[in-house]
Amino acid sequence: MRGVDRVLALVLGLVGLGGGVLLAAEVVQGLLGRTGHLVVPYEGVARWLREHAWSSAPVVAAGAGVAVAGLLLLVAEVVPRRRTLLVVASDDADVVTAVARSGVGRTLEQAVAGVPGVDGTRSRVGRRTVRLTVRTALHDPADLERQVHERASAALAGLGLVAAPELDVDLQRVTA
Amino acid sequence: MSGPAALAPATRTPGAVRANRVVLAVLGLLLLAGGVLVLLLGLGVLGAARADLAVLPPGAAVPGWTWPVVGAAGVLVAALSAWWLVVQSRTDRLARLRLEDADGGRTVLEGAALTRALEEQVEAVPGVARASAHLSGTSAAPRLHLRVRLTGRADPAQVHRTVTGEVLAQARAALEVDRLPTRVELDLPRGTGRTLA
Repeated sequence: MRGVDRVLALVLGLVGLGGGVLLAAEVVQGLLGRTGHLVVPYEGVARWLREHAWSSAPVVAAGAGVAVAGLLLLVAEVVPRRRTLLVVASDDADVVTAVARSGVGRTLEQAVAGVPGVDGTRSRVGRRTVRLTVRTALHDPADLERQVHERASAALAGLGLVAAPELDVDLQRVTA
Repeated sequence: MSGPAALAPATRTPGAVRANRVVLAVLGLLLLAGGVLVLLLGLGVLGAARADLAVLPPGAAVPGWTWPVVGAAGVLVAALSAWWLVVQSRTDRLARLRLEDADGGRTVLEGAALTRALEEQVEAVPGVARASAHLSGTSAAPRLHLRVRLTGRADPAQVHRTVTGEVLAQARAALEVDRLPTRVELDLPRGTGRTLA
């Protein structure tokens, strides 16, 4: 969202800067008694606004569009941002170490990738749970599930997170 | 250790992040208010007679002060927009540190030189692929931000201990400070395992 905000800031900042200067220039042009526009051909817009009532469909639709855009923008900025980093425990009070959730998922996937019978892995890490999906072609994967759980648990514990998410292993059987 | 269990990613432009949120939220609020007002007028909630009026009534008398006020508003919008654009380039980076010598003199240390040396030290730690560092805060109270990309061939906890132990101790010594608040972001590599199709 920060990246989107940055792009919006650059675009709207440039539009505001240019628009504000042009608006002031057009006003000065009008105050000097000169007819017509300086740069912005606003006469067409003014004519359209004179020809349409507040209750006309295009004006109501434009109002609805502006209101929806404003609501979306407001909600996007007011809602707290997702905390994508999980904090690693540290003995030094001056040091805060964090690791991206995606990185936690990758570590767990790597930890179980070498287990015989594992054909593929996928992970989804939240603040409270990490779901590790493992694909296997084994007919009886009971022992595999235990091995995967042990290795993933050890890898998760090895990261030393302040609040490690709960591990949930999901074994998916596929035909060889 | 006390503190949050989860964090938002660090940024080198915290001022811009804050300003963008506030300005965009205000813009959103203004758009919402404007849109709702148009809807109320158009749907006749504020009077059926008003709803049938043209948005820009033809021949309506405009008070003499209107256009100077509009022009001033344009200048204000341009000035605020220029400030908003300038804010985007401001970082919290500490470019130079002024260190007090024992004999009362001062030594100016380039922040980039120190962070480059730190990056090299961190990259020399087994299991580290790449490191980037920057300093923020003040000369008297600097803060260090470290981003460490791991290779995936070493225990992340061991790398963490080495970086926060040995390397930070050397950084504190170089900066001549007892405390150096540090934020480390460990970047774990993409899996070398087989991913699901």
